[in-house]
Amino acid sequence: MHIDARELDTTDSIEGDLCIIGAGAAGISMAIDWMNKGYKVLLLEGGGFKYDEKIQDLYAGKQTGQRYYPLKSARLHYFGGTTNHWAGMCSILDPIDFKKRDWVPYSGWPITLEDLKPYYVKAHELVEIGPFNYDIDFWKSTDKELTELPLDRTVIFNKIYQFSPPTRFGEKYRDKVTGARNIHLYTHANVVDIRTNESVTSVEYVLAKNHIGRSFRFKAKYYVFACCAVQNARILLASNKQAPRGLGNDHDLVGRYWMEHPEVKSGELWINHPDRLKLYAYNDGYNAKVRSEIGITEAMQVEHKLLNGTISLSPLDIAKNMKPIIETWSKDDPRESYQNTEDANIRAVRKKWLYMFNEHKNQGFELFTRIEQSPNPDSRVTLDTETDALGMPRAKLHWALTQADKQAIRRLYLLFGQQVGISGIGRVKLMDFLQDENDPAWPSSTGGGWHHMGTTRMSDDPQTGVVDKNCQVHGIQNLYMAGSSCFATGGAVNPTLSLIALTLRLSEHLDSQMKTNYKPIP
Amino acid sequence: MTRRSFVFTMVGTAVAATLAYFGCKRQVTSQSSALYLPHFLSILMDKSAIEEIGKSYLKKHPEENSIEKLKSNILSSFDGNSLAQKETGGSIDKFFESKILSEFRNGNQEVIDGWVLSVTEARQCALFTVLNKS
Repeated sequence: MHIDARELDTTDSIEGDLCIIGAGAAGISMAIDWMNKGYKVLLLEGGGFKYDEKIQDLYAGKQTGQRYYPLKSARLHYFGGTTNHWAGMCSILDPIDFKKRDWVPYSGWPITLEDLKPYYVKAHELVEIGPFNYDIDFWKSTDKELTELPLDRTVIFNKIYQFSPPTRFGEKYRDKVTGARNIHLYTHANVVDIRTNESVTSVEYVLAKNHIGRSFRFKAKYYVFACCAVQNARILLASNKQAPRGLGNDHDLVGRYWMEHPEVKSGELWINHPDRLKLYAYNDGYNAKVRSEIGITEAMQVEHKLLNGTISLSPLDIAKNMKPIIETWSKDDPRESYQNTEDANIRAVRKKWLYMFNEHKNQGFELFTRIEQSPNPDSRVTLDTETDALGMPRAKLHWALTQADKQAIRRLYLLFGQQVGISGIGRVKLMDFLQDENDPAWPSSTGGGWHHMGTTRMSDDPQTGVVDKNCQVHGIQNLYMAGSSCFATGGAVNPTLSLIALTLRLSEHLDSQMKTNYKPIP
Repeated sequence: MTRRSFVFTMVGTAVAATLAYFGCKRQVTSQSSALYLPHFLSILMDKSAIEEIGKSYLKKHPEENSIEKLKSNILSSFDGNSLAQKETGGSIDKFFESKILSEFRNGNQEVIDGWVLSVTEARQCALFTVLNKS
């Protein structure tokens, strides 16, 4: 059922069994997983069912460090969250992403890819993509035109992406969520504080407010914050009445290790026999099910001490006319930024892109990097002194990339260039910013994928992580974080599918906890 | 760089006059264009791009800025006895193909003007540039 909290007139606490805060990809996925389970689920969403400028403004914040998209427009604040405009690129993390790597400080998760796999399968259904299969040979068998570059598979592999329609969770699942007997969706309920018991070991209630001045207490047995990496950190830090440094922040970790995927034009590939290379085409304008990006095998990542990253191809004739998204996505209003990006790039090239990858044979390709950012404690979300309309301190983001991140890109391209040379298919050219290995500067075109990760990172050790392997905040028995804020490292892929999988894993854990400790409502 | 669509012609009479200069190595004279013409790169790029690579290489390695030095380095191991040469039947084109492949395999590559190149093909670009000047 749906309750608009602006019309709610009560001073009593609203009680349930499970309280999920945030109705984006993670929160809605978890709510659907709890349908018909016999427990009362409170799903709190700060916005309504459509864009509202006043609500969106709650996400505004200051930024320092590496140039980034305005915080206000980097996430959407209404039912469905950022899936309301996501691109739908889905892939899975690699086994190496979970491992401790001695050349990547702070790397290593307390879980493995195998732990996530069953939940990836379920996540596939939610984002409406094909079989849980990311093997190049499988996809080649489905389409003879998907030919791969003839590169040594012990060094280079095809990182397969599948394309979600993209599923707009707000539209797709609204009726399902609001029609569920045990799911109580409260819109216009912005959580601004988390209150615990005296010893700060258990949450007693969360306080929600809205713009018409009403506030409510929501009480539950378990609380899951699924508000995105910036907002998850913000609410923990702002809940500082009982824990002066913020909840879960005894070791000054909340908000730190904020990660993005640095995305940047990095070079060119020139091949001697012009080809379409349809396998590497982005799903823009035709009905592709998959796309490959060029990845580096685990063995080579270890040997060359690389960060995990991929290289994607675009026909040079198109790419050279495209503006960097960091320039087009510069408005505070996400609708304007989206439109600017569409107008500058996507609409202008869509038809040509279709033609170039499907009909035309290309000799030159732009090489575009998406790479993990090495976890960095100085890359962080903190609280600003300025408050929002509901009295909550705004978020302040300092995105800090390192020279090591940049050098990893260079090594990636040297290895790729070597393999292209060995294969005899062409040659690789690096862009100017990569030519001097000692040059620490990043080009002004450097952007990100709107992939916010890592502010409540996962670790079994409270001194190195905010949440444990089950996403429970260390030391607070009924408080959990969901989504990519729990990522210890970011891998090379767009995080949506993985954050849903991780959330479904948390969901199963909570189901087990609930059944152990509480009987369902008949 | 403009898209490469032509086959390199002689770079001028200066080059033709210089070819005799290469005569100190066996079997080279008749195929000397292979020395200064990085065959694979000439498929991918035009003359000006090759010259730019050549200039960048010479800037990075000023000690090699002479025809004799470049020629010597490019032809190193082209003495009739190297494995690469035996495997390629003495053809200088095949020799270079094999040598460049071997250099990539061994990581004997350099970034010149942004291009990830084998050292030999980078030197070929340099020789092309030097010959063009002379």
